[in-house]
Amino acid sequence: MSQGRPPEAPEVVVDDDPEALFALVMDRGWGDGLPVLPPTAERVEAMLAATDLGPDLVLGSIAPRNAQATVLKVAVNAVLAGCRPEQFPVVIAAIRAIADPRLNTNGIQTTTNPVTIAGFVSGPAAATLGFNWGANCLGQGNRANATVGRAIRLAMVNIGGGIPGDLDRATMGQPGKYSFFFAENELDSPWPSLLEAAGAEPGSSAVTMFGAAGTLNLLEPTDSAEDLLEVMAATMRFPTSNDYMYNGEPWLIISPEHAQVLHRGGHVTPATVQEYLWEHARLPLGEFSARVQEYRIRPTWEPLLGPLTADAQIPISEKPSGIRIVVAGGPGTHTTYVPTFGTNRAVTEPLVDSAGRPLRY
Amino acid sequence: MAKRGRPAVLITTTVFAGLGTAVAAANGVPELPMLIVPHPLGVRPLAELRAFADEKADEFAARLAAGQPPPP
Repeated sequence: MSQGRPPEAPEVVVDDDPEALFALVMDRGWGDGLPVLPPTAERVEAMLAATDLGPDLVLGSIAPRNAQATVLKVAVNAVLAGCRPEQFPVVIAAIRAIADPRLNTNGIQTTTNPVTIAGFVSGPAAATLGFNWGANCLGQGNRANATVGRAIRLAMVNIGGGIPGDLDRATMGQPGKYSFFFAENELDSPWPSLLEAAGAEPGSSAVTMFGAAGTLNLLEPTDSAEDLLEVMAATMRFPTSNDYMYNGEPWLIISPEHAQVLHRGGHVTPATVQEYLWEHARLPLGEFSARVQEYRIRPTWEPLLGPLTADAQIPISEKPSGIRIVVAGGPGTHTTYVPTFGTNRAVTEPLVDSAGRPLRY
Repeated sequence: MAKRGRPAVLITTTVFAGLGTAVAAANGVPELPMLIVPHPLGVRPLAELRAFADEKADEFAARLAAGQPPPP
């Protein structure tokens, strides 16, 4: 790995044996515990060739170390993770998103909570670049989903400093800290895509990143939109949820079959689903421990709602749009509920070239 | 606060002291005074915590009064 290195890249010489590189990466605290691809000059150059952004361009700073994420550093992490070069623009957009303070990467990286940054790609890039939005899209088996998610995580560790036991203070962590990335299922959704709903330029693609404190499956075979919404609300109601404590932004990854049940029930867009859930996913103040009431719930909600009485119903977010919805997954009557860190907000970044023009796929 | 030139002391438990040091340095205030207290705080009885806070108040005030890092 010593020949023809890209400009400004520090040289590291290691034996050609994959196990030697793996050992070096673990010794230096660069990895996630899984084997990596060697970031040879050729592989890094190939990654850099997949974007017209210069290698020294700073995409943003990654907390908590607040180190600058240059295109070159991110490319090295993308190679380590096993990304294909054509998927690199998705990683770039994701890194720009996690550098946005609204996502609170500092909190997500350093908290004791088992939270990671999850994300998904929307638009034509998803199909062209081989992402999985269908069956098992949150699981294993698809290189684009697995390695783009892993590249983002490796950048958070190697650039941002989220090293377990050091600046990453998670009590337990969670498996999504290896990789948590998928694609929006625009093909089978009865609703407008997220980009269409947001008024994005037709044919453009984007990445959305959000804080994810785990996944909870909702199995519900009902054909009733009302019943489905009620069990969704019931699932969201649990008193150890950060979202209630901090005015959160939880996500529902709704399967196409569940989305169709809701659509047939009169919910022609997700907006009325959000409104129902916002009204019904509330918890009585007394459901929380006395300490959480005093030090989490009251400080968060009393400035917004006024003094809370004993029978107060605590919302999960400040407004209906704070409950976020994306359609993904394959056949089956499942939705995945993703509670969040609570103090983070999702960030969407378009896939663009150096002039800010949408990348076309 | 320290970056704005206002007296500031970071109170942290032993477990998070390293994180506090690193985050202070990353945010341009590497000499931010710290008051490091034993871990944990979160699950201790409230009365005990209040007594502990009273016990540490003078030390906290002393750190606050002692030299603050120059604004960056």
